[in-house]
Amino acid sequence: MPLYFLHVFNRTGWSRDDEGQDLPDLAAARGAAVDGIRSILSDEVVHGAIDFEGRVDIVDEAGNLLESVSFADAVELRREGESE
Amino acid sequence: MIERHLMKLRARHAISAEEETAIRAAISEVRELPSDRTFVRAGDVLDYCTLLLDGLMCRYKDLRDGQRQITELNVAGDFADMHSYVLKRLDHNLMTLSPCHMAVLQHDKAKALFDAYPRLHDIYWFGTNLDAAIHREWTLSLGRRDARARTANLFCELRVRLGVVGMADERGYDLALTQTDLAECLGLTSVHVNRVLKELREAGIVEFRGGRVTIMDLAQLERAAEFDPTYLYMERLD
Repeated sequence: MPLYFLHVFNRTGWSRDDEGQDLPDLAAARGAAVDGIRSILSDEVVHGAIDFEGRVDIVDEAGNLLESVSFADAVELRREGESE
Repeated sequence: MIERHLMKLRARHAISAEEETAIRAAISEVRELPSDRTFVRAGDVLDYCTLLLDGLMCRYKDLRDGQRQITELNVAGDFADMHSYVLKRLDHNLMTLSPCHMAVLQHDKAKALFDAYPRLHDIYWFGTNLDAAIHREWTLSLGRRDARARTANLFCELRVRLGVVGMADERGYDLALTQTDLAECLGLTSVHVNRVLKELREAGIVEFRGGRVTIMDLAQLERAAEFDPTYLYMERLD
């Protein structure tokens, strides 16, 4: 399985992923990025604030940027009065 | 072979030379296991307990979609499943997280040992109760501590537990875990763990890199975790 590195950028700076994860394909890496962002946001929400400024960069072993997933794209926000 | 196990026992209880000989005689068959091997599956009927001689193992349960929760880590000197002696089949899996050496305690040999040495029975019962206390602390972490405190608490716990078997000091210890393993202990994701580790490192508290936990500020680490080591029952009981 290919190795994907998921680096996190947000207001606290750059969290470089030195270890990487073996994942079947880019779709799985995207899924891991989305799950990771949701995990970070869920920890923030219990403290009462969510920071959507941030992204996860998916990078292959050769260092090529394959995709960026923004924090805002990892969740769907519904406000009062909006329907699904 | 079972030196670390004896260190763990003797941290809380005096073990006589005769008792030591009886334990050594009951334990047999060293097996070598590669990393990331689930060697006992939930539901398997067991007639032996696994004693971890070196390496790291875990107990885990998982959901149908593959999400895994590690419920306890086992370090050198721990029985991974002394409870299988009475439960016979486990409700969880046992997996290696690094290459491991394990020894076997057949249940019938355990019974003979405990019949001959009732005091050892109580001492091993203490061990399973200690596991239960660790599980309770992990429940507290998973239910109530935030990601940073949860991570810090695990590093504090392992410092104490590895210290008992001579594998950690105030400065740190080797820990052959990946970020994904850590995430599965902490109910987080690898991406999230990576960010928490960065925060702890930049705060000058602890660094986890390349299979090594380096404690930069133990007092701050314990404060960040609200670490209370009483659940590890470190006092001598004899």
